[in-house]
Amino acid sequence: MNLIIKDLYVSINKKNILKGVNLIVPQGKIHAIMGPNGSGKSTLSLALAGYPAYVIKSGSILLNGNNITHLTPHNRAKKGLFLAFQYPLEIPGVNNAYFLKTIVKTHVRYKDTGAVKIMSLIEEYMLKLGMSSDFLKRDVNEGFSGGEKKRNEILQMFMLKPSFSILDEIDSGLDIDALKFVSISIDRFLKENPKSSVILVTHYSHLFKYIKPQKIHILINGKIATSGDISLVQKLEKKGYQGLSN
Amino acid sequence: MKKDINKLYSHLLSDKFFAWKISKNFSNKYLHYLLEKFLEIFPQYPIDNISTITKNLQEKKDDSGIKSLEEKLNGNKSIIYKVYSSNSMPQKIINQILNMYNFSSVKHYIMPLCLLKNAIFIDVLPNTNFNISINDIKKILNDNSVVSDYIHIHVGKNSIGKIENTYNQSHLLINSSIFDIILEENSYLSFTNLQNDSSKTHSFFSIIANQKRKSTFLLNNIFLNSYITLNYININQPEVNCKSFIKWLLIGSKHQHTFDTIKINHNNDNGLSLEDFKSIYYDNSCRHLDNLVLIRKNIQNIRSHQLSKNLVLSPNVYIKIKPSMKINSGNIRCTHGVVIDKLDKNIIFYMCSRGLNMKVAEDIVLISFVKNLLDSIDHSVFQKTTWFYLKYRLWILK
Repeated sequence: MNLIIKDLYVSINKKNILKGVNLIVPQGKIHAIMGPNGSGKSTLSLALAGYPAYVIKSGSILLNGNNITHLTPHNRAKKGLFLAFQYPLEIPGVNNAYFLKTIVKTHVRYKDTGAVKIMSLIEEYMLKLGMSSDFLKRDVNEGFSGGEKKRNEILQMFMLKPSFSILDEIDSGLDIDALKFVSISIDRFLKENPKSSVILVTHYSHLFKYIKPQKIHILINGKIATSGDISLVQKLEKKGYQGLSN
Repeated sequence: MKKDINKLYSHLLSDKFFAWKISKNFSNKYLHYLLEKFLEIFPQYPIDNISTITKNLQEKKDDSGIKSLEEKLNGNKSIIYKVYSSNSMPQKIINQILNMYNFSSVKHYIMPLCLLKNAIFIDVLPNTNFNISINDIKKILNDNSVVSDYIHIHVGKNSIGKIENTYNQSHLLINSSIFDIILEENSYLSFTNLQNDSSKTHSFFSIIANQKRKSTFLLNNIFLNSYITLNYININQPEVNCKSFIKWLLIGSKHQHTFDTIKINHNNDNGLSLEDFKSIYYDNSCRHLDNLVLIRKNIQNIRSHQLSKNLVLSPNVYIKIKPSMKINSGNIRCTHGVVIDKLDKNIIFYMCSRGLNMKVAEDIVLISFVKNLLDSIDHSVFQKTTWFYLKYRLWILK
């Protein structure tokens, strides 16, 4: 088992957002979490990554058998968890190349790898992701288009090779071509890293043209309302979230 | 001693002589404390009137090294140096220094000036490229106990160069410098000042710059450490096509109090002034910044911008920033702004989610905050020194 979420209750500013989420994502599998606005999708993503403002009231999160419920965000990352942000943060004054080198170098996988080798790996992956070397000269995400920001997230995923990734609305803000490219890149990552698991958090099914999740979970009002295979998406498109929850 | 304090205290509070009461925010109790400290160091301090200052100067001894210094410095024929210690200073020079200031308006000079140790005159001849280190001059003087310097810099027509000045004298309790700068027509001066005194130092730093036509003055000020810092900057643009740039970095920590008074006077057409302040505040640090741009009546085509960005890292920090512009003319473009913020927790979280621990993430954000400003300072050796100081400071302040 890769990720096990048991009866997770999460609140922010004393308001309960997640109300008993149970979820199991086995190793090497792709699951999707869908849900209407305000259902708690992003809260779940951020709570898994350890966002300090979200308070875990009860329940547990196990990653590869390790209880990460109360770990700090950086220790969760070190255990192999990766969150691709819906809105990647801009960090003015921090050069992208420096940032990538720094985060990669702190990863145990690259502990003994020299800076030159790390840079050549970054450039190799950038080439695969269709990113120009100009990205390295700019500050992290500053002035990046929506598509560029998402590519930068995927580049970090490629470099860190997490055992578990949460892709929070990776499709938002992308045009058709960018969506296709980002989706194909994620698919390539999963093929290159078959033991890695992914949760795709999304509103829409258009991502599934390129990435086929084995299981779909519908999150409504802070709980998994229903789960099923890809055929659940067809039902969802017919009935809508409200229809499914009734 | 107590009688002396009270006497001095009453003088200082009078209209004529209230040197330490530079800010209304100085409480009387605090003022009293400062005076006690001052008199502990200088119990012989005469307080009757300003004329005793000159007397005091003449009574001081020790002018060793002055002659040999002048010989060494004057090897370069395009820069003329004259150096005086307090006892070798002719009355004419003392009067020149004293007469420079209107004591009723520039009050906080009086006390440092009465302790004047060295007067250094640097005259850069026209059409000269120069690179001067004030510290090199002090090194030759072999004088580490400098309490107060008066430094006169005259940059000749069409001359271009840099002057740098570093304070890293942790043992000093009072440290003061008065820079009197004149830039002749079409000259360019990049002046960089790094101050890294001890957390016990009372530091006084002032610059009065007068620019002639088409001259450019860059002032790069970096303040890393002291107990009390009083800065007074007055830049005058009495002629046309003058440009003034101020880049200012402050890292406040512990009980550091910084009082900055900055004034730029646009007194003629086609002037430019750009001011960029960045500050990081830790612990119980306190800062007052009074920043004024004055544009005289009927002056044309002035561009002036002030921006102060402040990063507050402790709930006990006190900041009072007053950017202001007195505009008495029409054809101008001016902006001013102040940003006061805490570390962006979302950025820290983003970095932590990539495996960086919080300390590293915060350091990266803090360094990135000041990076652009430091990178724009055109003293490469100085930049390296500053980075070293900064990284050390950020590290030890955690």
